[in-house]
Amino acid sequence: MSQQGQHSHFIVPVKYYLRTFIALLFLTVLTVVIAQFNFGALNLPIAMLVALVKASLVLMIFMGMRWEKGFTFVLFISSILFFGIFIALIFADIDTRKQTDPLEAKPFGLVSPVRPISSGNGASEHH
Amino acid sequence: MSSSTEFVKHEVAHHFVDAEQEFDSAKLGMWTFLVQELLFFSALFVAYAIFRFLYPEMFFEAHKHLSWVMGGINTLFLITSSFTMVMAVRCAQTNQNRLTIINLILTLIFACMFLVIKYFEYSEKFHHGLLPPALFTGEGVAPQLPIFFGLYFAMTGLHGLHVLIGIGLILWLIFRSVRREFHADYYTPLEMVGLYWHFVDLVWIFLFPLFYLIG
Repeated sequence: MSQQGQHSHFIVPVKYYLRTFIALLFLTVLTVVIAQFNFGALNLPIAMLVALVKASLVLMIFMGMRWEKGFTFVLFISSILFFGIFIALIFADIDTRKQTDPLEAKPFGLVSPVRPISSGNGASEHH
Repeated sequence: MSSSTEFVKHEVAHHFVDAEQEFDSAKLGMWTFLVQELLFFSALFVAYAIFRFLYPEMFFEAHKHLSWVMGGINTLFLITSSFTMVMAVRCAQTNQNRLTIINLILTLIFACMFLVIKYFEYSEKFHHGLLPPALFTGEGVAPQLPIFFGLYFAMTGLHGLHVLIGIGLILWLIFRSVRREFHADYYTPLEMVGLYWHFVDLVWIFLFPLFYLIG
């Protein structure tokens, strides 16, 4: 037993870890079961929602964010924020590329951001 | 529990006020590294999002080349290894050195099993020529199929590299645990590698549905 008062880290009760573990196993099975059904356009959002719940559990309990001091939280949130900016600006570009005026699109070839690889063999495509 | 006296006493480095400050500094450094890792991976996730947005049918066709059973088993392995990792840290906090070592060894076994399955998956893809664009020789209906495998190998490959590094770190922890260096007053390396390991788990939680479960 440790008597040193200066070292008083909070020890998380095992039940938190055990329940998180069981919840993660359950959610993994759930996400596989859900994937067997077709919800059309909702497939990706549903899969990402389950993944987000799983990620939050790992982050909050296993990584101990729930018991963490404020600054770690600021670090994490700012990282997520920059990821958000990254994807938002990229999609502001990609999603609006097809909205070009036909007259503009033709000379600049704006509709094709990626050179397509034809006939399934990329190796022969190099010029 | 008189056995706690047998533990190797940790000397706080001279530039820290006390053990608490030393621990907090290590943790701050680790989190800074991890949020940087998140941004590092984010470039690949954004690349994935772009191509999935551009070629949704190709992604649907491509995911049939991956086995969700293997991906699912690997998910279970990583989640279980995260649990044993967290238990290893907890056992060190309560001075149960033997249980710390057992939990670390279990974590190591699950991590290795993850890579074994990954090896079988990769060799099957190699065999069918399902490789990134420049090397692609596989058969497929969608002409952009090589893009999917470019993303697949870049993302799972980078993740696999993290698992491999994690295995090395866990081995180092086992070595130090056997020398009885971790106990209630000092378990900083366990906690930090634990954070790293959960981050690796976190990345896989997103990779699994994005590659294996495209509905």
